[in-house]
Amino acid sequence: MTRLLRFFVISKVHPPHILILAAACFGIGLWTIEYDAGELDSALGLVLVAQMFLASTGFTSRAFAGHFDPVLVAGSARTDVAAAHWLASIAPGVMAWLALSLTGLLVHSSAAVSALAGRRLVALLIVSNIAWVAGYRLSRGAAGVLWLTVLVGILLQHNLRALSASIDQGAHTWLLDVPVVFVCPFLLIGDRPYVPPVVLAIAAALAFTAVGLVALATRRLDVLLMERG
Amino acid sequence: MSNVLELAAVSKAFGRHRVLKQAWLHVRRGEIVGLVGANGAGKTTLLRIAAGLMCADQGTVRWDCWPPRIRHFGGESTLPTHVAAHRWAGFFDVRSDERRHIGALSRGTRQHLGLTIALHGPAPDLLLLDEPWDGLDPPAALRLTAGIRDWGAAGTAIVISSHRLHDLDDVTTRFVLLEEGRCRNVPEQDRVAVERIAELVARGSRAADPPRLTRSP
Repeated sequence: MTRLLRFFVISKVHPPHILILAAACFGIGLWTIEYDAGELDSALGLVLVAQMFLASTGFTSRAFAGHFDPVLVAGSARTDVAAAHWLASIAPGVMAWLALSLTGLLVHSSAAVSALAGRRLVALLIVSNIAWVAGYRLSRGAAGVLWLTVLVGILLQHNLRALSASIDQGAHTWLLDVPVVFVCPFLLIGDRPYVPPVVLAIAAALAFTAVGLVALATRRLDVLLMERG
Repeated sequence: MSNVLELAAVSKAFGRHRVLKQAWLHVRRGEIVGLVGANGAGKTTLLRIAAGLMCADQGTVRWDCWPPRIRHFGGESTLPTHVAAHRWAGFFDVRSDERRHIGALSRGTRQHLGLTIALHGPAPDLLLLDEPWDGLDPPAALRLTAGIRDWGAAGTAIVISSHRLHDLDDVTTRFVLLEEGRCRNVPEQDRVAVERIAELVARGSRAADPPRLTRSP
């Protein structure tokens, strides 16, 4: 796994300008916390938006160019290859999140614990995993663009409050609540609306299941060559 | 002698276009097979199926041990252009002083880099090369030919797809013609003249020609 991770780092799953963007988000987040420890949620929200694009690295677009041939030839465990790609894709956003959360812990931000082991962490897991899964067959960042378009569409139609209220005032049926937090994980950044732990657990489990299913599907992926010469 | 690679009745289609139709190919240890055929005959698809990169729709692919030790090089266009050459080479334990991005290198230098990596280290069980002589200057082409011969002598089963028939003729132990989705061994008497193989490929090429457009009077 370490060798595979090294392969994806060397083959630049994230080009330098994307990493600079991640570093900038971290820097702005750090400045925000330093200004007001209570603003950790703003910093985390920024990282979450960035992670929508960062984790959407696009597996097949690079694989179909032949870039991953050396690790995809017969004999290598394709699920390991997919897992390493997933890990390399989500790593910059996760590291920025962890660094901000730990800083928040140092400055006694009330949101820091939740960012490391609570509902805010579930938001990060959903965004990281679903952006990677949705972007698997798309070009870099495309899943982030699609997701943000959906969110802006919801905002423009003033449905975000309705989504939030559906969780806050509803009967907490996970069948309804889980899709809502999947579409808008930003609802988990903050302390309202109340989301039952079972919904958080199911959402996190589903996000990991999606990654697992895609990793399994990679075993049967036809690695065509889309471009020659 | 056992087969290192066995493709049995392999078929592959892309939509309605059937590229391979029950193709059979066996390669033994130390054998160097020259895979020839017209453009679009399915040589690259066959090599990628043999490498395990693509799945056959029908038929079976068998390597004589698992996991198989395979090296595959699909040509310089498969190298990531935005990665520094020395970093890419370094990952495969190949030393390179070239610090430019792979995309900034000449086509021949990229091809040379890819082949150096593919032919580096201990000999694998199976080596699959797609148009390996493309873009190489004469000294590099000669070194490649010598390297392929050495690995064949060391027992590696090798399949090379190329249009460079004279280069292929220098190293191969037999030719296989991929025509109408099937593999056909080129008889030894036809092999005597490379020109004869070129004729066989040309025949397949004519068959694959698109219909000519004619202006109505």
